[in-house]
Amino acid sequence: MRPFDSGHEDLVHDVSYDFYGRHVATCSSDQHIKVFSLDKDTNDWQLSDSWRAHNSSIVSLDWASPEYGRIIASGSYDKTVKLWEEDPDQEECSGRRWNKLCTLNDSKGALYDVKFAPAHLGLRLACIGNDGTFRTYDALEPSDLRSWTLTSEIKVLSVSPASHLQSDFCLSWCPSRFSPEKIAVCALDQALIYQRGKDNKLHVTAKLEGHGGLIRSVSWAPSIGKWYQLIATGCKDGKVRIFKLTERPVAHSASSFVGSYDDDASMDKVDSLDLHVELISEHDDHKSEVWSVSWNLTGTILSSAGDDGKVRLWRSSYSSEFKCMSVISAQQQQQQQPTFQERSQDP
Amino acid sequence: MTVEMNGKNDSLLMDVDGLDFVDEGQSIKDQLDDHEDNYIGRDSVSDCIVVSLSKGNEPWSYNKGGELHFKLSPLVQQNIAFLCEKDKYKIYPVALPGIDASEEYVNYVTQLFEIYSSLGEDRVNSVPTIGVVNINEAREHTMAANLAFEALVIELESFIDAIKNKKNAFGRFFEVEECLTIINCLKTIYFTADTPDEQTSRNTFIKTLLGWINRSDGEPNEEYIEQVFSSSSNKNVFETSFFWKLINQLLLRGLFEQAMACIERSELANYLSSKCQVSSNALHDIVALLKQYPLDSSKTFREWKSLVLELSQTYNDSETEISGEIRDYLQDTLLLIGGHQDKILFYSKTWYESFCGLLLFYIPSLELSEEYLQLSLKHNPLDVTNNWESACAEVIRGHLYSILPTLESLDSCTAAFTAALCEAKGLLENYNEDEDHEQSRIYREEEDLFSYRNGMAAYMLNNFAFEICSLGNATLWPVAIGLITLSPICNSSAKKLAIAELLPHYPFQSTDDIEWMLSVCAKWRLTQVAKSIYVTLGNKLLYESNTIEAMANYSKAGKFEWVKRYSWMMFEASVLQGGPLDDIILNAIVNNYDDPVIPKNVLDTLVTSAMKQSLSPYAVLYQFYVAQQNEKWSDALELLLLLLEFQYMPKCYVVLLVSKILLPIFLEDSEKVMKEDIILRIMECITNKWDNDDEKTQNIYLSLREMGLSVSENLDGLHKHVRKLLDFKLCQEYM
Repeated sequence: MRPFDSGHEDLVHDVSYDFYGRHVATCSSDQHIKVFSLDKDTNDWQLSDSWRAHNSSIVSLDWASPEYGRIIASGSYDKTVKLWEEDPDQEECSGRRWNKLCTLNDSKGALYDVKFAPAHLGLRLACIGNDGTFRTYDALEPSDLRSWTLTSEIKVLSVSPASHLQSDFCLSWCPSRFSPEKIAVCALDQALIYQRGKDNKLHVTAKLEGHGGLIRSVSWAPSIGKWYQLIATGCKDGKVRIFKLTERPVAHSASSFVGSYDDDASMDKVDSLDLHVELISEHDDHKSEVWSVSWNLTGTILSSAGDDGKVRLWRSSYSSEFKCMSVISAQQQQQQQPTFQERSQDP
Repeated sequence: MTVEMNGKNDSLLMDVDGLDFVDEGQSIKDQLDDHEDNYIGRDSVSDCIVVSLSKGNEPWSYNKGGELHFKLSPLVQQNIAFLCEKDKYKIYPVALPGIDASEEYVNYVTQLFEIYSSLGEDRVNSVPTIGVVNINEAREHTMAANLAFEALVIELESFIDAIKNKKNAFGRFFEVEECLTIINCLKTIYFTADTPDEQTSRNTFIKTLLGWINRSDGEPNEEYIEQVFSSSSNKNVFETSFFWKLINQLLLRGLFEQAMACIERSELANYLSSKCQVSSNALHDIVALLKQYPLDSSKTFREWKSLVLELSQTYNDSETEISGEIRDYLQDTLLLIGGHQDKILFYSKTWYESFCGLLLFYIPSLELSEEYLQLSLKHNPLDVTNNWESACAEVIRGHLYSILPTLESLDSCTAAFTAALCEAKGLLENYNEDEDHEQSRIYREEEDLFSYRNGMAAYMLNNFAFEICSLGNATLWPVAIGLITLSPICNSSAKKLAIAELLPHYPFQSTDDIEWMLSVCAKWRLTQVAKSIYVTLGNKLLYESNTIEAMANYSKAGKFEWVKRYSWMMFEASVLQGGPLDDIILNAIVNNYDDPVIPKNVLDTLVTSAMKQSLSPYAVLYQFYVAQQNEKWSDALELLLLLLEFQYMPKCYVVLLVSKILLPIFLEDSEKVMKEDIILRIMECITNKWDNDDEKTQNIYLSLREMGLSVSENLDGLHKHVRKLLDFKLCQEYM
C-alpha cells in the first residue's frame, strides 16, 4: 500500500476511523477537516470532502456511532468543539457535504481531545482542554442534533498548566456495554478513571499510577469476552503501560452480578462497584517518547508509536503477558557498509 | 524424487555431505522472507520482525524519528500511520504484518470451520466414568476425530497448493509447509493408528508416516541423486559409499520404488550376476522383499521380517566372489531392512530418518516412539533452526500443549483447529490445575471467554474468531460467531456477551446480511443488539434517501419518536411542495395499497402499526390532493379540516396548512363556497391552536416568507388576515 498525500497544508494532528473503518477523517493545523472513503474495488483511500472547520489548529476528531447517523466531532485550539453532519445530497469534494450542527464553546482553553461515548450511553460527547476541565455534552433529543446540553463539567487540574510548559490531555471511554459508564481522563501526567455514580454524576474511582511524564495517549480496550478492562497509555517517559481494571461489587450489594449479565440488564441495577487497578505490563522498547497507543477492534492487539520512528504491535499470550509481535518502521534501511575491497578502491 | 536414467558424466565428485545449502545463522524462511515486499530485518530491542511502513517511501532516514502516530483500524489491512511533523503530511495506510486476508485463506478457514462444526457432539471428548460404557461410542468418536483431522490435513494441502505459485508469498508458503509437517507428525502419532479398522490401520499409518517424513524436507532431492550418480567417474557408482548411503536413506524413508530405481540405474544387478551368483540372488531377494513390504497387518510384517532376517543370516554365512566393500554394503542393507538399530542409526542423516526406519523395520509400534526418538536424537540432534523439528519431537513426547504456540506463530487458523481437534480427542494436557495459581484469585476470571481454565483449545478458537472479524471479509463473520458458539467452554453467558459486543461491528451490506445478524440476535436473545442493528440500518437507509424503509427499521427498534419525526417531516415537505411526495412506496401505503407496482403483501411486511398511525396525517393530506385534483372541493375542505382539528397536529403545521392550503385555495377564492359549520370549526381550530409565540411556528413562517409566498409581514398580521377572510366567507354564506 502506498502513502497518499492528505492534502493538508500544515501539521496533521489526528486521524479517526468511522465505526466500520471504511471512512477516515483527518484534521490539521491548516484548520481543515478532510474525510476519505475506502474504495471497495481498489482499496485506496479517496477524498470525499474537505472544509475549513475552525479558526485555529484542529487537534482531535471522533465519529459518532452509526446509530446516530453520520456525525463527526472536532476539537480545536480555538477552544471550541464543533459537530458536523454529512449531507449525502451534496456532491463529494464540494466542501458542502458536511454541515455544522452546533458549536460548543464552554472551554476556557485550547481543546486537546474530543470523544463520543459508546452508543449505548446515548449521544454523548466528552472533551478536555488545557483549562484543565473535562466536560460532557448530551444531545438530549437525538432527533434534534443541533441542541447539546452541557451535562458534566469537572475540573481535573486545580490549576491550569503554565502556557510556556508542554502539556497534554486525552481521554478514552470504556466501550463495554456491559460495564457501568466509565471514562479515562488524562491530564499532564495524571490518569484518572471517572465512573457514573448513583447520583448520576461522574466521580473519580481509580487512578492509573506510575507515569513519569506527560501522558500522550490513552486507549481503553474493547473488553469483548473478558470480565476485566484493559487501558493502555503512551507516555513521554518512553513507556507503554497496560493497566488491568477489575470490577467487584461492594460487599453490601444484594447479590453479585455473576451470571446476571444479559443483553437487557441495566448496570444501574448494580449497587456499586469497586475498581481494582493493576499495572500488568510496562514496556520501554521505544526508548523514547510514546506518541500514541491504539487498540484493535477486539481488544486483542495494541499498537504503540514512538519517537524512535517505530510502531510496535503487542499481543497477549495465553499466560496473559503482552509481548511485542512485530514492528513497523518508518525509517529507511541502513545503507550497506562497503566491503574491504570496495573501500580499498577508494581514492 | 524420481530417478532419471541419465548417463554418467565427468564432473568432479562433490562432497554432498559437506554441502551447506543454507547460510549459517539464517533459516530458509529468513532467506525467503527477503523476497517479501516490506520485510527489513529484526528489531534490535524485541527481536521481532520489522517491516517497513512503506518500502521506498519511508518518511525518515535511518535512525531518525519524530512524532509518529498510528491508529489500528477495524479492518486489519487498512491501519494508518501519520506524522505530526512539518512538511510531512502524508498518510500511510499499512496492513498488519503476518496477516493473511487472501481469498485462498478465507476459503481455507471456511473449510476448516465446516470440518469442525460437522463433528457435532464429537467436538467434546467425554469419557463416561459411571454407567454402561459404550464401546461403540468410543470407537465412533475416535473415528470421527481421526476423519476430521484427515480432512484438516487435506484442506491444508489444498491451501498450500493454491498459494505455492503466488507472487510474494514465499514466506507464507514456507510457514504453512512447516505447519503441515507438524500436523502430519501429529496425525501420524495420534490420529491414525487407533482408527478402529484392523485391516487398513497399519496401511494408513505407514502411509501417513512416510508422508510426514518425506514431505518435511524433500530429501534426498533430485540434484543430490544426480550428483551421486555423476560423481563416480572412475568406478561404478555402486562401488561408492555415496550410492549405498543414498540407497539406505531412501529405504529408511520408505521410498522403496526410488531405491529400486536407483539400484536398477546403477546396473548393480548385471554386475553381480556376472560376478557373484550368491550376491546377485541376495540383491534379487532384497528387491523382491521390498516390493512385498507388508502394509496390511502386524502379523504379515513379522513374517516378512523373519524372511529378511533369514536372508541376512544366509548371506552372512555364505561365501561370495565380490569385493569386501560391495558385500559389506549389501549386508548393511540387509541388516538395515531387518531392523538392525545400529545400521538404521548409522545410515540416518537426521533423527526423523532413523525414527522412521525404526518404525518401518524394527518394531512398528507407537508405544516405542519415545524410545525411538531418544535413540534418534542421540545420534542426530535436533536442528533448532527448524521450527518443525522441535515441535515434532514434542509431539512424539506427548507434549502437544507446547507445540500450539509454534503452530500459532506459523498459522493461527491451523493452530486453532488443531487444538480443537486435539481437545476433541482428549489429547491436550491441562494447563494448570493448581488452585494457588494467581489468576484464581481474580474475581470471576473463571467465566472469562479467555480464561486459562477453559483450556488452550477454547482460548485459541476464540482468539482466532476475534482475529478473523478484523479481516474485512463478511464471509468470515459467520465463521467467527460460529467459532465462539461452538468453542468448548461451558459458560454460555460469556459467549453471549462476546457475541453481543462483536455483532454490531459486522459490516452488513445486503438484506441477507441483516437477516443473518437478526438470526444471531434471535438465537442468543440479544434484543438490545437487534434494536441497535435496526437503528443503524434505518440510518443507512435514510442516508440513501429510503425514508420509508428507514422508518420501518426505526419502528422495529422501538424508536417511535423517530418514526413520528420522519412522518411529520414528510408531511411538512408535502405541504410545502403543494402535492404528494415523489415516493412510490409512501404513496402506495397511503393509497389504500391500491398500487399496481408494489404488491400488498410486500407493503404489509414493510409497514408497521406505528408507521400506519404516524403516516395517517400524510394519508389524509394525500386524499386531500386527490380531491383537489378532482375538484371535489367540499370533500377536500372536509379533509383539510380533519387535519386542522387533528388532536396531535403540531401548532406550527396549523399555520402551514392555513398559509399553504386554506388561504390560497379556499379563503382567497371567492368562488369557493364554505358552509357555516365549516367556517366555525376553522375559527375554533385557529383560536385554540394558533400561537404566535411558538418558536417552531415562527420558523415555519420565516420559511414561507423565504419561499416568496405573499403572506403578511408577521404572524399576527397573517392571523388577522385569515380571520378577516373567514368573516367574509361567513357573510358570504349568509348572503
